[in-house]
Amino acid sequence: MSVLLSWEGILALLLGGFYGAVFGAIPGLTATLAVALFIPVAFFLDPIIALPAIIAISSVAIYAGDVGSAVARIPGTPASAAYLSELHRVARKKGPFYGLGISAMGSAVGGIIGTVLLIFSATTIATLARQFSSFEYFWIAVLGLAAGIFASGGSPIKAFVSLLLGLLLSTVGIDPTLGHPRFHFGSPDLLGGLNYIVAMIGLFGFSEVLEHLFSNKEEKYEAPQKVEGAARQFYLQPLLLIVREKWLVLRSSILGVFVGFLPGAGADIGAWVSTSFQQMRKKEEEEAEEDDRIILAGTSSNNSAVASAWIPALSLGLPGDTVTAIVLGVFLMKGITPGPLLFEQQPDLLWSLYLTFLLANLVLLPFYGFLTARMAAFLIKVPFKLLLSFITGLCIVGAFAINNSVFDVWIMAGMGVVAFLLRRGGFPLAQVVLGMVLGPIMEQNFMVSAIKSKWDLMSFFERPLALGLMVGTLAIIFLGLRFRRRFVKSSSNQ
Amino acid sequence: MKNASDGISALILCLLGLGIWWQSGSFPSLEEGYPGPSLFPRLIAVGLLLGGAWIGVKSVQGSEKITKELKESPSLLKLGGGVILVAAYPILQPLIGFMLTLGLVCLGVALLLGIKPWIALVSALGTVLFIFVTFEMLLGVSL
Repeated sequence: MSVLLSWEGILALLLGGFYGAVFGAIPGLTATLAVALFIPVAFFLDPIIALPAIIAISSVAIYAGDVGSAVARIPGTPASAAYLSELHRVARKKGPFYGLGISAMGSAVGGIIGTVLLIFSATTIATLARQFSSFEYFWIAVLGLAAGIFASGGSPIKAFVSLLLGLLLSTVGIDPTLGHPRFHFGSPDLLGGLNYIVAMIGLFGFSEVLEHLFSNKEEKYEAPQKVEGAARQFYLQPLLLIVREKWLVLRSSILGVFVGFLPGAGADIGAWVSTSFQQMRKKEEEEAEEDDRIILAGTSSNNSAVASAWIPALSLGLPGDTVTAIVLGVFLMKGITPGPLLFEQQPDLLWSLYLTFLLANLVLLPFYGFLTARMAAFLIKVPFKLLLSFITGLCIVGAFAINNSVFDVWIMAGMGVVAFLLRRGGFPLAQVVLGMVLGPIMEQNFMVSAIKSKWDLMSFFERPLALGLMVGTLAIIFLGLRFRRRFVKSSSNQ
Repeated sequence: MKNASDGISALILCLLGLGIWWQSGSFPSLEEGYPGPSLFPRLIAVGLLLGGAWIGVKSVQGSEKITKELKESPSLLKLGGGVILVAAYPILQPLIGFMLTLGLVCLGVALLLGIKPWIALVSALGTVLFIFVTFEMLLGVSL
């Protein structure tokens, strides 16, 4: 603990936070990539400094992913894509300080709730997660997809088609059952599948450029040009909103914790599930502040999931997400064996991690959050057409930099064209990403379960946890249809 | 047909569904005839066919709202130009290098967007410089 509070420890946290802020804010550079590139440095550091630095990087990078969404409708991370349109709208109407303030403060509060639950329930929750088999993971994916259908504001059938397109894109490459290549059309570059970060850059970034080229439309910045009381907008107003919406924040954070501790799920799916629930409720209320609530639901959920993803990593040695998968590598590099014994043998290390999570959420997020909001406030006033040329450059380099492959630039451009056509047809884009993220989880766990049970499909309903998740899925479909009917009825009356 | 855009979408979705069904026919099955790698693509194909049919029927009935109206003056030429410029990047980059290629693409897109040439040039140079400094120099990402 004393090492963490030494000047080296504090410097590692500050630099880690700054590094995370830069990575998260640039489209194409994710929290995972930031942590992965940090590994060679982590190798030379004491684990009590290296691991907290990783926490600082990932916590701030997940928040900073919202900067691109606020400024240019390009999500920095897959988690940010869940509430992309709402954040972009709020940033342009009420100003980037307020929009990003909700995001940073929501992330901080969600992160703190996630950390408190991590401290008090790591062992208990890990025991529950241990009971999840492929049947439960399959139903978790189905539940996420069902929520995604009703999360779009428009037609559920079009959202369903968008999900199917995302699922279809996730089947490109080697299949998980027999290792048979699918839909690669003879190209070795497609054998490894489509990277959803590359696809996301094309879907949200390049399609925006194409939309403007096609329609010549000018996006207006409606918030006051001169920002007065930036700190009040960034800190005070979002905090007041959080106090007003305390149950929403608590519910989303707990949902984020639950999703985050499931191995393989993490912050991205946490944000998607929470945002989808809030968007479904939107049909009931339909108020002016609804965008603010959706952002709050997504951000509090994603950062609580960042913390809870460490639960299975620490107690079972199973990665909660890609960042903790890298962390497990660092554990092994340093000769530390994660698992129940870690709690007895390395209490100092564990308490350093807990303290870092609290510091990252209480100090680093508000501090770097404000700095990145200042940057966003400048960028958002630049004429959007001028920004589009810059966005094109970022889309190309963002797509290229992930695998150092020029082929990915073609994929990005192709996805941009597909997204442009989908937008024109009124099909939502976020559901395509959701399909791409959940598709492999759903297919792999379905096939494993089916083969395990010798294709006795009744086995998908026999385990109590699986049955509970299936009932949850049916409840989402029922509630989604009911709320939509009520929404359609009330809009036709107006 | 009351909503032509949805009608075209429905046709494309049905054709896509049929194409996926046909293409997945070549995937191998598991032992004892159980479905293997073709199962999921075929389920997706059925979903696309059903979704396409539903949208098609609704477009004929005209009950789905028209989601996007073209109030602006659309330019297919500019759209095509933007796609060609970005698609040319992977071909030009190995020949003339990253900086020049990216600069040309950004300049081309800015001009297509109707930005004044000198502002477009400054913006393209600024973009290339920012990307070079951020990625290559600060983050060590090889471009």
